[in-house]
Amino acid sequence: MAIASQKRRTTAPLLRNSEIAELLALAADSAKMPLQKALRRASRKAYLWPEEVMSLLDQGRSLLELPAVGPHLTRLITSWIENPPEVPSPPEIRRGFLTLPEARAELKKKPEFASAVKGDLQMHTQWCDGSGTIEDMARAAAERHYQYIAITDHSKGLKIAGGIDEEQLKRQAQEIESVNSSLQAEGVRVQVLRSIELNLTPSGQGDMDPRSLRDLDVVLGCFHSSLRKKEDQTERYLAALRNPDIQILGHPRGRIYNFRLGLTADWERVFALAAELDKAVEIDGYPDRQDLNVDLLKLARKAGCRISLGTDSHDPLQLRFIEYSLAAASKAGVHPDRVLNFMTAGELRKWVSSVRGS
Amino acid sequence: MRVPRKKVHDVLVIGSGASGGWVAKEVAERGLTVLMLEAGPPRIPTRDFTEHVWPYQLKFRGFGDQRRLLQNQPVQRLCYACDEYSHQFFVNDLENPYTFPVDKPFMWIRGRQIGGKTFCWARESYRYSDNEFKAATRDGYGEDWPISYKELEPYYDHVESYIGVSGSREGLSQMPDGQFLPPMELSCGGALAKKVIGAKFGWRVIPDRVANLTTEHRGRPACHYCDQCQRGCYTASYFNSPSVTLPAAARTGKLTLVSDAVVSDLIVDRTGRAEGVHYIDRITHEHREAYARAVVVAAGALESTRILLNSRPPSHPQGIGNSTGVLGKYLMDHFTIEGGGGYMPTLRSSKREPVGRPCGFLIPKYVNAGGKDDRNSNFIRGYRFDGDGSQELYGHAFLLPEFGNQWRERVKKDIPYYFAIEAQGECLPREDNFVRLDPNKKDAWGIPVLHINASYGDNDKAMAVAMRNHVAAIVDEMKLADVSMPRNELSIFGKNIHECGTARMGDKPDKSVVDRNCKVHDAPNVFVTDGAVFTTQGCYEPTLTIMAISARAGEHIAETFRRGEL
Repeated sequence: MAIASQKRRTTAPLLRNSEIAELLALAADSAKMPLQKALRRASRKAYLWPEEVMSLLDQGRSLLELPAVGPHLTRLITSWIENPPEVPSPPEIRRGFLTLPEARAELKKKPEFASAVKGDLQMHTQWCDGSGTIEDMARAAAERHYQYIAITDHSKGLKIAGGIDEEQLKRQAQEIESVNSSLQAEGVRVQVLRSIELNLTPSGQGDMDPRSLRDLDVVLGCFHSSLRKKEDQTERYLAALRNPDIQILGHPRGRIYNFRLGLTADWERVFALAAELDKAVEIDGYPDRQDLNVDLLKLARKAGCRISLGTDSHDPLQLRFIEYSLAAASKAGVHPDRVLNFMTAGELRKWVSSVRGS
Repeated sequence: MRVPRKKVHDVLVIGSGASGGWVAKEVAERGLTVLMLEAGPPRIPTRDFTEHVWPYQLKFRGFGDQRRLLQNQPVQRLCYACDEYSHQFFVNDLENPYTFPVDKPFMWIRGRQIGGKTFCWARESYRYSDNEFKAATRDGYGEDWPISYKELEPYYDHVESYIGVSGSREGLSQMPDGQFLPPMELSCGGALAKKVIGAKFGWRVIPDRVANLTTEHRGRPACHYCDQCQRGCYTASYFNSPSVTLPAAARTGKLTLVSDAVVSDLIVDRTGRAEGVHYIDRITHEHREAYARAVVVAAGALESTRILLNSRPPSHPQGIGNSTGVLGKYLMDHFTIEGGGGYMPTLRSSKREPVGRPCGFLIPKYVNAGGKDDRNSNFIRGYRFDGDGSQELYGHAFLLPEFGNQWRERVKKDIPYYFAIEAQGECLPREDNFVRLDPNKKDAWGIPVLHINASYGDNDKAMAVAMRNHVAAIVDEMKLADVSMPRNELSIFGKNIHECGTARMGDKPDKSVVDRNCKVHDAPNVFVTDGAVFTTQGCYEPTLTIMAISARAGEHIAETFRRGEL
């Protein structure tokens, strides 16, 4: 098989991973359980595959290396490669996602962009639904040579994710202080910042006592409810941006690959207000989310609003998702001085206090 | 009204560790009354020792209550010895904070209890020679110690023969032999290293000289080779002050030992003479005073300096011992280049070499130690190596894939032999490595904390390059498998827990804090006897020298009393 594919070697792959993902998703629609589940999962995971399937086959390597691919899917995917079917343009629910090779190719063009990242502004720990401790996240960040990370565990309203209340947030502050003093004494130059992913009601209100948020270094606000509304949601976004407790609007649309479309709004108005208030909108780099996506980011860039990069990591290994955020920002032509993560921790704090002051 | 007369002791000793224990023993045995104040509690073997405890007997199976360690001991837990077994021997960092500049990390590892850090020290006991005491004369950098090896030699003899140090006589000029008990043997890996390194580099590989007994000694039984020294020792087979020097002092009937007494500062009269100390009860936070004719500060290098800096009577507005501004300066700590090692394929076996030797091997200092072959002009001073070859009890099981019976068989039959080596270098005393009181922060008892400003300099870094190259060359020569190369970075300042200096010894008051007898230049009856007085540090562990200096100072103090001068 490897020999056969070598014969056909071309510079551009005949089937890109994004197209294979689409074929897998389509195949899932007509498959029965449990195959359906396997196909849907593989379609999602295809965005995480580190190399193009075509180049893998060219090197004579097995597709079993890829997450979510077993012997059956290896046969299926190989048959598509050998006999490429027509791949229709993906529906909205699967449109506008970058695969890892695409993201990497983009970043290769702008290495200065990738090396400018000084921190990650969204991640979760064992305090809610993450699998690592604060220290695990900080050490993983140190390996990436970050200067800071923000711990943004869910707030109490989001029970399904184990959101934390004011009391827990206060205790978490102590742990962050301990981790910081431990790392400092050891010469590890990562600062852990206090933050939260504040759960917003559809009217843009938070679910925590605002006094408990004042000591945080930065506050991320996110919608987690009424995310399947079809009508225009501009008012909800404007209300959220006007909420004085938050500085960053996290995963704005609330879309999830092949699962949820996300909300729509008059984005030009939303970004214009964000720019006016000097608040930031996020590029959530979690591969299933990629929210905002490149198209909306272009509008955000035109409006001139600040951009925050967050991986939404629920595990120390997921800090690598920063590549998706970075690539999206780069593709949309976001100017580096608009990106929060390119600031130092000191500059970030200064920005937060200026936003809070106004 | 009758005013009760305050009790005045002859000598007040702050600290009950290696140094304080020796001073107390020497002066009490010469008939003086001693009041010893210790900031921490007593340790009770049946409660606090965890020797011979298996992981399964512990709540966290030896991995430690990470949450609690992080909460209470965010710094102490970074020490290799501070784990689920032995964290009780280390301070609570929340009660004992300190500060440092962000770009100059410092790990301050401390033990506050009767016995101080002697419960968890690594017991390595090497004599300094005039290579160290007179280093400045040899290479022109810094200051010599006012004392020479000849002057300290009788006290080394005295200390070694009292505490019991096992070691081999080697006849090396750069590391004098002492009064040794029989040495511990090199492990098979150590013996192989001796052959290989001796042939290639011409260096001697010797067993560590450790304060562990290899024979019964002064009523203390020999080591039983459980290799769990840092958890406390029921049989007192290694030196710690509560088993050796403090009982000796107590037997005289002259010692009063007060635990949980956190000393804040010295009480000084109008003439600049110390009357006693002001201390705070660790538990009740009551403020108390104690009086004596002479005060010995032996709280551990940096704690001693902190007490002196915090003693600011009108006669000494900058702190006692700080008339010329030298107090707090010239902080040193050894730096190490770690991480070199690998498996020794020829020693892999199905029968485990007996484990439990509480020592490894040492390669004494050769570089810049006087010999012609090992001179390196990129830096001054030198370094020594230590390491060990050993088989783990069951640790290798974690690294073996597979499962089931086949795996169990492999764990039993196929025991790898690991070899590790590191280098430890001499840190130059520099004026810009200093401590001072932090004006803003206080500890749990309201005493100002230390701000520590220390980093390694160009000479240290140049030496580290050579150290790394040598470790790499040794690892290479040993023909190891799965080699890990030594790290490039120097260890963090403080990590080796050999912090010395900040109240250094010298004849000239403008360049030092204490004189040749450990008496503070600018006070008639205040002495500092611990690592704070080190003028240079050499590349060897400081504790034996601390004890020898303390014994010498104790004798001097008793003599001065006898002459009626105190």
